Amino acid sequence: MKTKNNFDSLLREYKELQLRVTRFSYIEQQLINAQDKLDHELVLYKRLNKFSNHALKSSKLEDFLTMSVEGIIDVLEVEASAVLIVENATGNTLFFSESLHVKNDEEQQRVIHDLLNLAEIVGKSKSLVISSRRLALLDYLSGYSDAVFHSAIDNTLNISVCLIGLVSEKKAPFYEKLNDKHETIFSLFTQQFLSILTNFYQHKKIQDQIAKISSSEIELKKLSLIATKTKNGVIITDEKGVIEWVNDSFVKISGYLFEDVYGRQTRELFDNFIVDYSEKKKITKALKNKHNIELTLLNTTKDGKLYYSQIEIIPVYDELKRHINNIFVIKDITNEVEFKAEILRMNSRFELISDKSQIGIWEWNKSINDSTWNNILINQYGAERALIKEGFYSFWLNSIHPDDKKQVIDNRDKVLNSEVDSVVQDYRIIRQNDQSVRYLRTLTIGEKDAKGEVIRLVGSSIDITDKKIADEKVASLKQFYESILNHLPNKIAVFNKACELIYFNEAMLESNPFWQDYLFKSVYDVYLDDINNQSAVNKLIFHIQNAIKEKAAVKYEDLVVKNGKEKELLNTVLPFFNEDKLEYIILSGVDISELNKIQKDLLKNNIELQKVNSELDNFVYRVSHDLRSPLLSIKGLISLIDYDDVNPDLQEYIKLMDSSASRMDSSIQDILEYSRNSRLEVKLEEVNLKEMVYEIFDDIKYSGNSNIDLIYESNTENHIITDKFRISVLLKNLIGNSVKYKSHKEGSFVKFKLSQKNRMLTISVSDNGQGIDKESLPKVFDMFYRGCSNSVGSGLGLYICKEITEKLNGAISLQSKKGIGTEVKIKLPINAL
Amino acid sequence: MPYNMKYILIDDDPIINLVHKKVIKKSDLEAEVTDFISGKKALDYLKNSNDTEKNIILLDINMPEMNGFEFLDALLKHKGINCDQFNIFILTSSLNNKDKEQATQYPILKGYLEKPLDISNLQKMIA
Repeated sequence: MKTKNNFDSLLREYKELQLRVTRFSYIEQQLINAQDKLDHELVLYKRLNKFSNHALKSSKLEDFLTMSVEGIIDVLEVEASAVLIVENATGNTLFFSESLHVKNDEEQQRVIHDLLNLAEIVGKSKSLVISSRRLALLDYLSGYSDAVFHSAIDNTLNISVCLIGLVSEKKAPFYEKLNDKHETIFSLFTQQFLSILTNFYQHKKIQDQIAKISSSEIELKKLSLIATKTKNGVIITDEKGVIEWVNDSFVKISGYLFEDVYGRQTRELFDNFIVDYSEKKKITKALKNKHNIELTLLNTTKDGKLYYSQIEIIPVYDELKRHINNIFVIKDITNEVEFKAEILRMNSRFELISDKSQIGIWEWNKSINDSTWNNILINQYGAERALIKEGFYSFWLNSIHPDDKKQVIDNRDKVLNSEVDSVVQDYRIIRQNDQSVRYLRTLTIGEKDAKGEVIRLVGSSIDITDKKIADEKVASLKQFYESILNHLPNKIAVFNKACELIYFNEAMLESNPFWQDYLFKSVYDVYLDDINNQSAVNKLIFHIQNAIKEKAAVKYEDLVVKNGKEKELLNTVLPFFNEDKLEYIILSGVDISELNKIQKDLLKNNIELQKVNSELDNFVYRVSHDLRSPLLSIKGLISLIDYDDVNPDLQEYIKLMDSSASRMDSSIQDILEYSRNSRLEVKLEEVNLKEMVYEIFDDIKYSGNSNIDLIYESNTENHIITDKFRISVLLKNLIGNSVKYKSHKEGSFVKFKLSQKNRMLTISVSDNGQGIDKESLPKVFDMFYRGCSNSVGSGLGLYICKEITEKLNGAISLQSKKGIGTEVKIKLPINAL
Repeated sequence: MPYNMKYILIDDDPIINLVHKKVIKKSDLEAEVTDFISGKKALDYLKNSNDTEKNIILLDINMPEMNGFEFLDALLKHKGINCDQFNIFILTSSLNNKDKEQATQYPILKGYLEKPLDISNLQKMIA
């Protein structure tokens, strides 16, 4: 039992032992792991130490930084790393990276930017493990799964640093998530880094200072060398402003010798040679505050000559920043200033003003006898600059119109001899390119020196030809209208828009000589004085107001008593507007008393005349009728005679009786027609000429002359507007003549031709009849003239034709050749109904 | 050419009436011609005459007492006379256009003739 118990207990103990062994081996393993870990960490710290040692030995910043980024990879066992240094005062950055894959500069800038943002987030001297999630937001870091970041600040140098280590899970064979351990070691790394970095910076600062000092040494050496050789004047004073040294150039510029200034205060010197008091103050202030100053001054030399200088004052300090000297550098810039001023003057004179206003400008310098001129002037003279070879003066002299030349030169000489300061004159030139005469308005100014002598002539000229021509036109137009107005019987007065009298014509002055004194008086005063009738003036004012309101002429009649005489006036008020603005009021008055009286008389006379006329008309008709009636009875009786029963001798007498009766009848008719033409008004109506001509021809032909033909020609409308009675008398006479005086051969004709040209109708009646002999031609239109012994008329026919043509405002002409024929031409105006 | 016409001549000049009568007879032997030296007498005759066939009246204008137009007015006014039966012509020696114009205002007038009488012209107008 006991054995069994022992066995059991042994077994139990064995199991327990086994359990313990298992437990120990686990602990042992744990211990080994811990040991490894520690060993690893130790390795890392060793690496950090190694980095520090190396880094301290590096002499260049770049080497140090390269070392640093490599160190981060080593110590933190990361894949990539970067450092960023920011000089807080300037914002300058320095960025170094290792194995960080950035594509280009732009991306690198983004890395820097993001790191700066991160540094702000974490604040000062802090480390941070950045999660992969956050990394993913930065696309250029998206390949990395973990990052650790640390920033630190050095306050003395005012430098911030940011360090970053990056690791990728896939690529690292022994990947271990970055953790606090890293944070600690990284923090140490950063501190190491920062301390070494500050060393670098301090070293650099010292070196810069050394370099500065050595360079200023060189400058000093250079300065003294330059000071003696430079053209600029140099003054060196002690800290109190006492002059210790001046160079030769200063003596040349200022005229003061070394002896003159040595040991004197610069203030005293400046009192003598700086002209402008305010500039002096600026220098004093700069000296007091020990500032650099640079000024442009107007100075006088020892002899009182003016010169411009540029002065620079440089205070000099020793190593202990004590003020030891002042250096004055004085540059004579008189030439430059004058040159600059000259350019400005020329610019402002020649270009700015003249180009815009089309003013030609010229300048003549007496001392160098040289001229300058702008292009506008050249254009005015119609030349080209390059072509004026002889020089401007002689070119100008040649261009002046010969009639104006003497006057122009005399005036110019007055300026030149200082008799006058300037002269304005208009003169003509002959433009070179087209030889046309142009008018110029010119100004010549003499510029004088202190002694009052002219040293320079400056001139301007404007081409006023167009204006001159326009002015002349306006003047002649004005003269023209005034002469019209002065010759009008109407009295005319012109008032301006303020209703002040500005013009009156001679008719006005004739009626009342006091108008001479009325100029620029108001319309109310003028007329009250002129007509001395309040109600008439009121009426006038009313009509003026009305005319202005209506913008149209107003006419009205007025009855005025003047010098005891009653006068009827026809007044016109004409407001003259220029683009809706009232400019003038023109009043015209005409005395129509006489006119009205004449008109009335005329009307009365006319009625009487009409009465007389119609009585006379009736009388003439009566007489002609009463004369004709028995005549016609005689003719009728003769026509009843049967010739067969009559003695042949008597037959001859009877025929003569008949012809005498016919002649008497036609004379009565002629006299009647003449009387009617001279008394009756012209009555226009539409007349068919063709019809009329044929009717007349037929009538005449029936009266026993059948052996003749009518030729009718017309190139226009046969219907014309004229006086029917008169045209028929006219044609009756002309056609009648052609028929009466035909040649007694076969083929006689009378030709009627109607044509129209230039608003005139021409009627031509021609024939191949007997014609008229030369001697008779001038008399054919005379009253009672009969051309030949075989004439059967009264001698009134052509006379009546002439009278009728004149009554119709036409003209008649006759051409004839004995034995060949006659043509009568009548030109008539074309009337309208 | 119509024949056997009846003519009434009204003219204050008996000689011209005689001449016209002869002229008419010369061309138409059968024509019946009556003449009056005043409008009044002619009017009296026409009032009492029942003869209405083919009457041709040749009327002068310038007559004492009653001129041609006054005669026409009286004739037209008279209700007993049918004026349409007449062929009335003015036959005058007047050269006054006013007369010619006035004549156009009487539609009853068949024509305006000037002395001396041209019988063939008259007969053409009647035809």
